[in-house]
Amino acid sequence: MTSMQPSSGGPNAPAGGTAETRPDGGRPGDGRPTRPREVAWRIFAHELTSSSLQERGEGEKATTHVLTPLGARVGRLLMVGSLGQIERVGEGPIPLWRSRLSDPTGGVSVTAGSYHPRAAAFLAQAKAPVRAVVVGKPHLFVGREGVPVVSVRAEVIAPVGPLEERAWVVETARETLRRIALSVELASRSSEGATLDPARPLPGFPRRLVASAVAVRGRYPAPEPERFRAPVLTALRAVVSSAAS
Amino acid sequence: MENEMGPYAEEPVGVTGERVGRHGLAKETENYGAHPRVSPEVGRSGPPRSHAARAPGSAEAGAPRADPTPATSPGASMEGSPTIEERRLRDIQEGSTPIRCTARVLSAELREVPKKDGSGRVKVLSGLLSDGSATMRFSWWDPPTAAEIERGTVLRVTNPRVRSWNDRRELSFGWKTQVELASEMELPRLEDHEFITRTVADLRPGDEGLHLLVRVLFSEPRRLRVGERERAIRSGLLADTSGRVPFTAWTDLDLPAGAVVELFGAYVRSYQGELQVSLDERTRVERREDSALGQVTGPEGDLPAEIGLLEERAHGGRQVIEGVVVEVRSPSGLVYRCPECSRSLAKGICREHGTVRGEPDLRARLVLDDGTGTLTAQVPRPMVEELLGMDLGKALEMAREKLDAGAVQELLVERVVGRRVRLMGRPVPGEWGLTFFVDRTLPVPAWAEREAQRLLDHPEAALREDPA
Repeated sequence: MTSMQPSSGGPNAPAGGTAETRPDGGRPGDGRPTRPREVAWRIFAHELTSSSLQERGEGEKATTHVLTPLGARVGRLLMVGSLGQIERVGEGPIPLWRSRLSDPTGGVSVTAGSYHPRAAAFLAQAKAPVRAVVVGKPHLFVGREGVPVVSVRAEVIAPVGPLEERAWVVETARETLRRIALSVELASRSSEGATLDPARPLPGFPRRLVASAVAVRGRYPAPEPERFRAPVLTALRAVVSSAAS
Repeated sequence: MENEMGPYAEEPVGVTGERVGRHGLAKETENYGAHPRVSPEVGRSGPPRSHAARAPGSAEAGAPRADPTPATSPGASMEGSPTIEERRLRDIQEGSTPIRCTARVLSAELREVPKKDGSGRVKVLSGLLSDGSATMRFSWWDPPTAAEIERGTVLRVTNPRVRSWNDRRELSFGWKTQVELASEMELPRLEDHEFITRTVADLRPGDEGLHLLVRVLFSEPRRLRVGERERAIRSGLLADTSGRVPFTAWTDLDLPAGAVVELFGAYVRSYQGELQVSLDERTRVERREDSALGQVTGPEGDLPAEIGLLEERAHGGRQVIEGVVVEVRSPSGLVYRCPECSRSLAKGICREHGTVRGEPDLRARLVLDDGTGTLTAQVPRPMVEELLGMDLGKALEMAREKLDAGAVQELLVERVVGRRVRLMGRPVPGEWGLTFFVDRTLPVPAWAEREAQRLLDHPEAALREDPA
């Protein structure tokens, strides 16, 4: 684990990539990735910031995964929300920009640096608050007093309209409800002593999700999946009432 | 813009014969009164010996002997025989009683085959016949040379032999068979209860005379050039709760997007391994209430296929997906293609044809992510022009001004990365994940409110609906 504040040379030494590596692990210009692309998880800030575990990959191009209490093993995510006050951090010649993205359930810190000049340029020029979509990689830092803090390194930041924002809220709600249902399902199976073969399909649950949840299972002593439901339902109600008004 | 026709508009050429058939048919109908009928004699002027030897009693075995005439009486007439039955092709059985059927020639090819006894060769016209209930192969031994038999010609055939070949029935016209030209009006009509009701998932190539209850997900009129003339056709996508299938209507039927319709007289064709529903002027379209069809909703609220599901299972056919563009992959934007093979060139070199003078084109390879999976969408020029808001000419101009062909890709990145798009196309699995060959871009509908309500009302709706 590194400190929360990247050092002044931060952009030159990020985990998970070198200057020759694209976000998906491919070489620039080759037109193809060198390994399967990580899906961008749809995740609310509440679930993401409730995470306290991360898995460091091995090797040069290893991806760091943040493990959430709902069993998501997140190497890339996509969030939509309102970007608040934007500040320039770090003292080096290459600026790093930081803002805070707020969604209906909470907020998370978002940074953009020279590796993703478009995302950085967006933050440099945007007037907060601005509604935006952020695609990026999550990282877990141990902040002051040993509290784990999640931050997102943005690969893409682009403005969104209300239609796209509502669509994101609903699809993220659906994905979160799926993860809750899967956590409950896995918990009930393990209490019955049944094991789950991740290679066998579980009706209603995508294979990728099952593989992730099985990998994360047992890492959180008390995941309490049901506590994630209320914020999701609140977000859905807000979408319904925004349509009514 | 040939691309705009999409692959399925090309289908009929040489596959069904329908398009050409109708073209030929118009002429046929005009000539109908004046055209000399093929006389019964032409069909029997030169029976192949093997056929003549086997004819009596073989095909009609077990059936009432409607034709007591011995095979040695070539002048025997079938006319007036009281037991000849009108049959649809679907109902024809091997060894049935003498029958008469009226059907349209879908394809016909004249060949010469050696006689069995080696005493020369005999001409055979063979191909496919359809009467709206089924399609069947036919072989016409020693056909008349005077009569013009081509795709679209409607024939009334009395007393053909019914044979089985590889478990498929086929018709053989020999010396006892009487063949006449007929008009389209004489083709058999199917009653409503005679159409076979099918769901989209159960469609098989060659199915005819179908009854479908479907929603039109997408529908677009098109013009198709046939020789000198232009035809108004319509193509798009149909769906029921079991699946989706592209359609082509060879006449501009009333099939607006979103409508729930019952179709009587649809048929199924396969083009490059992909099924499609074909409709024509004989197809009856009846509008139904939205509620007539389960939970398939119209394009306004139609939930797209999850990319994760497409990754897990090989899915044929057309799909609608929706996701966010998270990357524009090179080469995109302005590319140069080999004039021989259309491959994009790398530094002016085609890996097949070496250094060539490239032809400019626009393409985009977009990485689309819907949270359940990712794929690379291959977007052809018309849709790239749409996404860019500029055509190829403007793009070339821009590249020249900036002295950089990459400027177009930069603009594309600017326009599409982070954007939510809805695409219709064909997913194809590959070594590096799914590739999605885009047919068209669709507007992103406002589905969020309704889906939010559904998730609130039915928490289990969040689970994936895995098709059986």
